[in-house]
Amino acid sequence: MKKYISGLSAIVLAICFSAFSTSPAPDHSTAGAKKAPSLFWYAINPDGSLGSALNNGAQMDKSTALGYTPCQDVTAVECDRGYSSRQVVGANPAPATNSSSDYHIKKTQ
Amino acid sequence: MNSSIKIKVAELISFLLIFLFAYTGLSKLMTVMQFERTLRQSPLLSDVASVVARLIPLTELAIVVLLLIPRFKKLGTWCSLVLLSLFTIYIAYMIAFTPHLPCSCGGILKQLSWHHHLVFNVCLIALSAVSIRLTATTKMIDSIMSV
Repeated sequence: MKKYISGLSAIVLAICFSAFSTSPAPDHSTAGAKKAPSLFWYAINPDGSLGSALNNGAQMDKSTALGYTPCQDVTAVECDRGYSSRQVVGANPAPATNSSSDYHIKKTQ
Repeated sequence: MNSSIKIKVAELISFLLIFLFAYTGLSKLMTVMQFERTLRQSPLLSDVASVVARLIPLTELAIVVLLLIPRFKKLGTWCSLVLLSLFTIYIAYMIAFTPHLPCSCGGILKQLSWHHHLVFNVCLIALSAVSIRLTATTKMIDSIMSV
């Protein structure tokens, strides 16, 4: 039993630490930010069709998606569109999505 | 360094690894949905985020069990070395390609930047290697002494 004491005390310490440090703190990238939906993002081609997926089709919120697009979300021309499910690239016109600004990234002109 | 000091150092490293893996494993399990969401943002793991989010903390807790049982301590230390090396490769990839994404680490380690996390992991890998080396040399000395 003696040889287990140090290991067991490490576990007890870890349980205490995890009990006090988990859940209340959101991760550092989202702290204080409004909770945006996690979406599949696609570029919108100039002809209105659905272009390639951003970040290899990974699901992410708008603030993360902005890191994968040259668009700065400042004018009225839509550049990227977010969907709650995967879409078929090339669909023309690009399928509609939620009208909330969390689902659209606008083009810099 | 004499044999008893080597054993004590190896024990201390083992204590640190048990604490680290138990803490991060439990933290990830307690916030598994949040952990999965973070992994979904990763270009490498987005397709397997659901499996990986459960597999990683369970692997960490399995390593804790191995480190706890004296008979399997060496195996546990080797597993720690391999897992920490995999984490380090992943961190290096994230620093190189997507440094703006959040860290998917457990507990307060989430507060570290990617670069600090890389340094932290390299230190732990070095400690695991030292522990393996010390255990090996101590066993060698013990077997020579017992002849």
